[in-house]
Amino acid sequence: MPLVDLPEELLCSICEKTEPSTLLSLAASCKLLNRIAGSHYLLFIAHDKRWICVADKETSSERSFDTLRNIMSIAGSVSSARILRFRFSPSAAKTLQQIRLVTLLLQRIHHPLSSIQLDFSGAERWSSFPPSFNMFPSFNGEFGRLLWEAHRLRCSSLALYGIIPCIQDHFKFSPLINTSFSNFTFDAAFLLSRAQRGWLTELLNASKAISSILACCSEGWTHILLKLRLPSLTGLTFFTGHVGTPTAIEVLAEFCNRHPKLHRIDSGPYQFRISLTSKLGCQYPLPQLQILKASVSQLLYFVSDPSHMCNLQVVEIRWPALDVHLASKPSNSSTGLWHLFTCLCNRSSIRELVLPVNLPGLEKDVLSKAQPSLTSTFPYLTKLRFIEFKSLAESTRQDFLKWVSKVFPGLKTLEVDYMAWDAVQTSRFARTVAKELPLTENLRLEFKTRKVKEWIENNF
Amino acid sequence: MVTLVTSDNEKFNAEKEVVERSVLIKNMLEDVGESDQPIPLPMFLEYCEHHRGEPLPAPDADTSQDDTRKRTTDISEWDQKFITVDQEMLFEIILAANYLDIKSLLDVGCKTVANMIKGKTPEEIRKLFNIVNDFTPRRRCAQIKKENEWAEDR
Repeated sequence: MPLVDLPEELLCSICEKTEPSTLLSLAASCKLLNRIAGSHYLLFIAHDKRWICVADKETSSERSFDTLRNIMSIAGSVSSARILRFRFSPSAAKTLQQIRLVTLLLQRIHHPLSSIQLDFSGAERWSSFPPSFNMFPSFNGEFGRLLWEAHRLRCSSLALYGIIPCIQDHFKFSPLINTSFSNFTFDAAFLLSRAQRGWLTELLNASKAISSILACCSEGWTHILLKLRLPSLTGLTFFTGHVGTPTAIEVLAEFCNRHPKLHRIDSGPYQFRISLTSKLGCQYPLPQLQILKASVSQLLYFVSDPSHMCNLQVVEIRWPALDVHLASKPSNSSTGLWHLFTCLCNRSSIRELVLPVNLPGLEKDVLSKAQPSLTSTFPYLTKLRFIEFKSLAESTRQDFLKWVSKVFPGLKTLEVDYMAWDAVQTSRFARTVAKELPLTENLRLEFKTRKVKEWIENNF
Repeated sequence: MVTLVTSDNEKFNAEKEVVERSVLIKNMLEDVGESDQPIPLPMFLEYCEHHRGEPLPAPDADTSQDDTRKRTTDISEWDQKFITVDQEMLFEIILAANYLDIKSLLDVGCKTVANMIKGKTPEEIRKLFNIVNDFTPRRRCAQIKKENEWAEDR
């Protein structure tokens, strides 16, 4: 009797006694054993069918590219993969091989992907493993091939981290129409540099279903924003990054005006500057904007005209990391903040405010009770989220709540996070909230919303 | 004493304690109760006789996979000798041990197969067990072609 004629349960029993490396040999011997030994190997390495996370070196949370090769040798092992993440090697030559393997993996997938994340941040250490000159065209070719495969798989989200190996200027990936990628993430200013942004701009403009862009700050955006036409774009977020010259805020306003579906903007800490002329305020009404995260002076630029941004619902005030107001240093006074409060308070559309308690001058004004803000109350606001609440002394926290009760009389939900409180501290804070803000029903702590009463009793 | 009868009608007498190493027979005896009825079975008495008196493993006493793999080569000398048979017989023993529900014998059989293939290449495994490589050649060709595609136009 041949081995493969044994009942499957017995072949499974044999596989249970077999080493993982031998399981791979068994799996490569015939289709039946590929299925049985292969599934035991996948079980042994705790293969996650939906999320494939691969890095140059094997860690507890990431597979190595060698393991990926093993996984790929088993039929059906990637048939449920939805989210793929690859962190490439710091060695240029190895990265090239790894890109080829990823392309091969994508060629074996025949269903739509949710997301592909390609992380080349290891390449920043390439000075130790420099690419040889004749490698450059291969990089361009291989990287392009990989993107085409991801595009074929109708992958909806594309994230690129670090310096991509297509070091030469001739890289091109320009589908005439891109109906696949709709959410983009770029975290390296490299992509937005003069040499690279051409293909990127073309790709974005060809993206008919584009929904969001999440990108690092870069002076490259000054040029890119002017060239983009993305009718379906709904969200634009900038995060940290190095910027040479920040983009004029007017460029962002003009971009918003051309994008009627864009309703969510995070202007980023370093991306946009307010100039002397910006004091006149934004010239576009931008009724489509509903969620805006920006510094005090940027917000003032957008909302100083009471008829502008008439549908604004959520305002998140950013701590002025580099609030280039009138090309001067960030102001230490709270004048701008109180002016902003005056502009926002009577807007009936605004439901939620996110407020860093460490904004310049805020704590001092709240404690001294010399609060010009008292003249402006927000009767329509129902949710308030404090940022950096932890930085306040406990006694000060109570004063803040007293101030909240006066300024936000319609508040239904108060949120504070990252407090690392135990049950007793949580309960004590909830009692203070109940005392100072009797009309506030919900308390959101550490990203969980519950009734204030429940927090007091810790009854859950 | 219990009377066991093989499929070709050969009769063996054995002590109850010995044959109860087979969970199947143990259950059968319990079902039948005190009876003179003979119980049919193939060869396994030698193994049970040797392991007489050893505690039976609990039905769900499966060790973790990791642990079982570590013990791949861990077969006692007597068991090793017992199981040194040709492939045909080895698979028959595995089948019988499974049928009779003698976990320790099944383990020895499976471990022996695992030891036979340890460190072998797919081709060596195919040769050892006379396995036909049934991966479609077309698919393999296409795969190889795809894998080397990158080199062609560069």
